[in-house]
Amino acid sequence: MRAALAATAFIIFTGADASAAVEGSTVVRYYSDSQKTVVLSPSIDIGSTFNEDRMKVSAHVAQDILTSASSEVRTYASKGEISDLRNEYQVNFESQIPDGTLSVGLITSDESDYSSKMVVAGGTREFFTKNTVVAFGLASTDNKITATGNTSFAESMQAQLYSISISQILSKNSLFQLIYDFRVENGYIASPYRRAKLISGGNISALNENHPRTRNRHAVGFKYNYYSSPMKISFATSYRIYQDSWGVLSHTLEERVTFEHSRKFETAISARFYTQDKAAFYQDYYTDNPGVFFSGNNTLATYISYGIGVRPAYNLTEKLNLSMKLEYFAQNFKDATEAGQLSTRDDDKRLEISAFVVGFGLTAKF
Amino acid sequence: MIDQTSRVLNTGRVISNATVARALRTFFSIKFALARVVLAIALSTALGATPVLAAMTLTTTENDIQVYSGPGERFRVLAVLPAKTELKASSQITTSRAGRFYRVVVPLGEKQRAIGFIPVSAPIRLGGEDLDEDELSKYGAVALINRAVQITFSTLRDQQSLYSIGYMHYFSPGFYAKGSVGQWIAPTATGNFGGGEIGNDSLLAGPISGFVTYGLGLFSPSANDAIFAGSTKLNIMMNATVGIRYNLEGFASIALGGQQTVIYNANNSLVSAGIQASLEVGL
Repeated sequence: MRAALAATAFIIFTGADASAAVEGSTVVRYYSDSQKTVVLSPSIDIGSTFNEDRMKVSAHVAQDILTSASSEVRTYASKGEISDLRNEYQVNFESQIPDGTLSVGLITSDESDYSSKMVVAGGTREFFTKNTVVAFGLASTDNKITATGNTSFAESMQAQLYSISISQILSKNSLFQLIYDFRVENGYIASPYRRAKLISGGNISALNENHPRTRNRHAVGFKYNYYSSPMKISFATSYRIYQDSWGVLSHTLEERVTFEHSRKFETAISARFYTQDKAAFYQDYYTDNPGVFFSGNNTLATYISYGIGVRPAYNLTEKLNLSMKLEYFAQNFKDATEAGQLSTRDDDKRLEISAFVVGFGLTAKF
Repeated sequence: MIDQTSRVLNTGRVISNATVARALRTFFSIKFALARVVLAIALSTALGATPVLAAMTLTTTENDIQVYSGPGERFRVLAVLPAKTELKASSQITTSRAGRFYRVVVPLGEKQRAIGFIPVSAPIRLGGEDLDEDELSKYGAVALINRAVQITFSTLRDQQSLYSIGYMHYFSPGFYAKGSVGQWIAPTATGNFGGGEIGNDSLLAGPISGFVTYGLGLFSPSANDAIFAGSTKLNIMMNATVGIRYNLEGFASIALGGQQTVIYNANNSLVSAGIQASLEVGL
């Protein structure tokens, strides 16, 4: 019965004379940082067009296998190391429409203490003989949060994303894109494991962090792509400014230069700079009266981050592409420290994180 | 009604209730059939459902020739053609209150076709009358209106709902802007809202189109803290919808979609999701 239904669905969606282009890819990514956090992330993508290539269905499966002995873990966890496994599944459907596309998708993500379901949808519309493209995106997500070792802890968080962009072809070699993203989160927007540090009467103690239960996040950015035909080099420049209702303000500047050595071989070099001002309620140490909201989340602190990367890619055949990625990035925090032993500040160190990422990818067309 | 009809049918004999009922059924079925014939003629006249005839080749001689989805400029523009575009056209001219139009097959994408209408006064050149008209009868006219009043009703989680009325205007084939006002109803409070929306609507198959919308407005509940803890007299409201729309030929459409909505301010927010139904009537 199930096979018959599947066959019927296949015929309905494909039609008798449909042509299909199937593409599959796999990426394995390895992350290791100075905080002794290691993440191995394998993923597989597969997609196929049907109905005379007007429609496409695709699926994505990914895992994150994490072990960490970061300063936070060493200070607060009962064990000196934690491990976790995250599984992500995603299906998408996209249909070409006159002068554009429409798409819908479903994403689920599960860890031992966090599960998430997200519905995404979007559309694009081309104007002026495809020189201008307006794109819409929306997403709605529902998250369930529990805590290992605390069976009574159960929280939820809902979030919605609204995205709109406009792309304009400026010349045959250049394109400009303006993007606005708005994300609103409502519910438990914290971690049951993180602690804020409180100095009271000469003693240092740890408080379960307490964050506002809503966060409105706005981001505006632009991208400019330019291709130099004589040099066979493309430049992709992007800038993004972000501000949220917690007072976090950040700027991101990114440049990617791709060298086309031959029809088979290209290399992309990328550089990224990020600077952030802290959330209004964030402090490394709170004293006596911490106020309503207090946090132990270092990503709400003031810091700068920079990274560089290189990505060579080689077409083994017309239908097989092999790529590799090497990245290095560093974060220097201004007002976050590694606590060491919580009871004293003598062993505190300013928090600095550096990380390497190595990735391998293989893409095949059938 | 039955008494009046009995009098109409009465020829002096005593008529039983069963006979009356039978006669009524016959009367109304004839009346309904006649109405359907009249409606079919009217629609075929309005929308150009022409009998099978030889087709012509129509060539645009200037840039920016607009092709409408129905026989009139109040219908949505399906495509804007550059000069020297060749189209297949019906040899029979479609006449409506808005004037006389050629019924043509319009390429909407690399592989999609639809029926469109070009005014006979447009700068075009005709030729090749021996073409087969199969393709012209293969596609139905959709006749999408370009200005409409839209009424929406949404049922959201936690026994909340909202309704709105708005005016929408299509600026290009499928891209529209809308202004609307409405009311949010929660179990213990209500609030009014008003704002704007832009949307992307496009034919998927026959008279069915897919759409995505994106709205932004102001929301004012009856009192502070009425809709959610921290809500004030003036809050920002955003919503987005994705769904499908069924276009009723020439005058209206109905739609069903999934909707996400958020009302927020600096203090707090309320996120919700549900299903939206809408009716769009052309002006």
